[in-house]
Amino acid sequence: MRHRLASFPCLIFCLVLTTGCWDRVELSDRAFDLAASTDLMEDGSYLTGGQFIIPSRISGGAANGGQPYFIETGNGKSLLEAIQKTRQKLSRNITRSHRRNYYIGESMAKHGINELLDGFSRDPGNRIRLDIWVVKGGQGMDALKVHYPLEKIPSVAPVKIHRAIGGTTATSYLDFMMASSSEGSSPTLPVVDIVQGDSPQKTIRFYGRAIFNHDYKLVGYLNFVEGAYRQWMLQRISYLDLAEELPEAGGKVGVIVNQFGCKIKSRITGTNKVKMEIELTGSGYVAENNTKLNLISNKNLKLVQKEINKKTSEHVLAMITKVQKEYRADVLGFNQVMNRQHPGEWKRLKGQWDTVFPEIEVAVHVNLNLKYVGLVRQPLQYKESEIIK
Amino acid sequence: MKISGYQLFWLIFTMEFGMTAIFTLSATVFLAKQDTWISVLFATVIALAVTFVAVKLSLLYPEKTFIQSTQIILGKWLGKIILIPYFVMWYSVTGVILREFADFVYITLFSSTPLWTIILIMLGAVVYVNYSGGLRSIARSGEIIGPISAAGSVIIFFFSVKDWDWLRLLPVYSNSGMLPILEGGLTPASFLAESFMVVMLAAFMIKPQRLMVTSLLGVAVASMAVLGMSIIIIMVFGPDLPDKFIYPLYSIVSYISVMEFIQNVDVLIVLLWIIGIFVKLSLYMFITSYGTAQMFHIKKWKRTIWWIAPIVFAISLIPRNTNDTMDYAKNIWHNWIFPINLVGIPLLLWIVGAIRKKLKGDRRAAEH
Repeated sequence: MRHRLASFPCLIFCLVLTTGCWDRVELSDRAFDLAASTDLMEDGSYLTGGQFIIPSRISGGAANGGQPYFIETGNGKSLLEAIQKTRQKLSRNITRSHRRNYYIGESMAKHGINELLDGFSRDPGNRIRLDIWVVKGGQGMDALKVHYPLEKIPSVAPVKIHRAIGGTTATSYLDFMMASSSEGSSPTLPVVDIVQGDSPQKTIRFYGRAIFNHDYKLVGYLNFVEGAYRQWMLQRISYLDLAEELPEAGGKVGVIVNQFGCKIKSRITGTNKVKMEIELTGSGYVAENNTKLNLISNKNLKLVQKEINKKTSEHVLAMITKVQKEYRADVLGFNQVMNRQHPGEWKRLKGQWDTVFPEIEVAVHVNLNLKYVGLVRQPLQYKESEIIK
Repeated sequence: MKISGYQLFWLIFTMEFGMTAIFTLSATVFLAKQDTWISVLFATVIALAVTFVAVKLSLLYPEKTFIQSTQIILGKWLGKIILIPYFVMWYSVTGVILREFADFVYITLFSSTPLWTIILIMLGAVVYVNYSGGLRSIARSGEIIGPISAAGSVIIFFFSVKDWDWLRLLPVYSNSGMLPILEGGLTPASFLAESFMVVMLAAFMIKPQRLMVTSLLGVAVASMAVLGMSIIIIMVFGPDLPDKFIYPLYSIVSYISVMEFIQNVDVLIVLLWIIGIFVKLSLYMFITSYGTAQMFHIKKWKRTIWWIAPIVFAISLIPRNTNDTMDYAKNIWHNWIFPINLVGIPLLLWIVGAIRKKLKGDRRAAEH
């Protein structure tokens, strides 16, 4: 009995200790940060911005009026100082566990982003599963300010766009760190830009891929299709449409590819001379046929397939050459291929990979397999007599 | 206080798996890069050998604990002297594990809760389980907690499948080499070799003849689980990143996202690890207090808990920061305790004990 009495105070004490009172932060004391940005100002200071949810507006919908988010900024000589300035204006603690996007202005990217990177993985409040975007030709802040009509919270848009076009989302921070810590390779980040065009509102657009050098400085961009070819080589893509003008077939053909494969064979042809044979495979279907070919005949389908393969091979090769000669940064995973296929030679090559890489001889063979031609046999818009059987 | 073979298996598994998977792999990847899995295999072999020696040693006198059998083998005084390093080990490691656990919880979950409360809560649970039933309670909780914490590793396995890239495991061997692979294996080996503690548990086995199979199985299964985790780490983070993380496996777990739906599962996994560490700490607490009682011939061993708990609590507050606790694992445990306490002395005791028993048997045979 005495035992039982003694255990009561203990239990009550446990109740106080184990409920985590010290660390309790109510939902109403948290500001959820869904996207953030960092820009380099002209005076050399950093401007950080965050897009925060306004919880009371998120459920009410349009009835309450106004957007369910707001943007708050801070300016400082270092990143932490800028964030501190932001916190001075916030009535709640910043909670970053739902943050999925981080925008970096172009000037910041050119200046180098090494000071940004550490915090993303060191602070346990941050998530490694994060996409960092370079805003081409603009400031990160611009991307935060864009109002995107389809999504309640605009920062959801780039993630969804990225997924809809067949990319892999939320891995760009980790990929960046892996590429920069691996011998020979250079890191990349996905790119968005802010465009208006002829549409009534400004919107955010997935642009392609940004290439960084070993000092984490932006050296150039790959546009959307080039970026997609690169993703194909790395097998990080699930959807790609190719539209090619095919003179031999007499018109344009559009193909949608939805299965991808890539084989790279490397050979060492001399001292510091490497040859890469890249075979890109895939299968897909014809989505658009503006030629006069009746694709139900195997001969015509073969012709289209051959021409598409030839054209695409040329484009991929052009992309690789651009990366080699213009940016001189290995973002194609060639270093990994060498390491895997010639581990002995790689030990010698890796120190001078930056000079070896631009001189690599590359051959590209695209090997697409068109499995379906869609729902029509021959283009409906042409007369029977015009069709080439 | 008797335990069954099944309970012993889960005790060994729970004790080995969680800590090894969280705390040792960063150091291994630093040396062995993508060949970490070979290092872990090597560590498994060492751990199995240590366990084999420990079981052989305890089977010399299956009724006696390590404290008693050492004094039988080496004589009263020499036996007591050689036990001193073990008491240093048991007291210090209980405190340090307590601190490592608290640091981990502090960093990952509770950053404004004072450290001593986290330590005190765990210590309270450990003291309670020891005081209420001793080894029997620990074994029973191990029986429940073991499978649950094993389920945690299965969850990590399945949830991370889509982030795997097999190519990251290549090339085998050429990026590291023999020496780094073997050296990298020593850190997990020093943790897995904790199965040596079976020398204190053997006397409580219902069927001592099952001791060998159960202990080796426990070590092997725990090692395979660690092996699986090390392969996942390399396949998700590549060979160059994991050594930059303090707890790479935790970072993997926080990276998990299945269908954009199952995310932030780290809290769940941390919980599973915490209950695993609870079993380990309780076991060490039991061994320390029971050992102390036997050493000083204290009749009621449970009484020793009341002054061992404050000592352990004080030890856990000694390290100034996480670097100090890491230093303990890296320097004291890895360089001194592992070779001397877990490998050297047991081997010596086994050889001496086996010879003495043989001689005794021969003498008896000669007398008849």
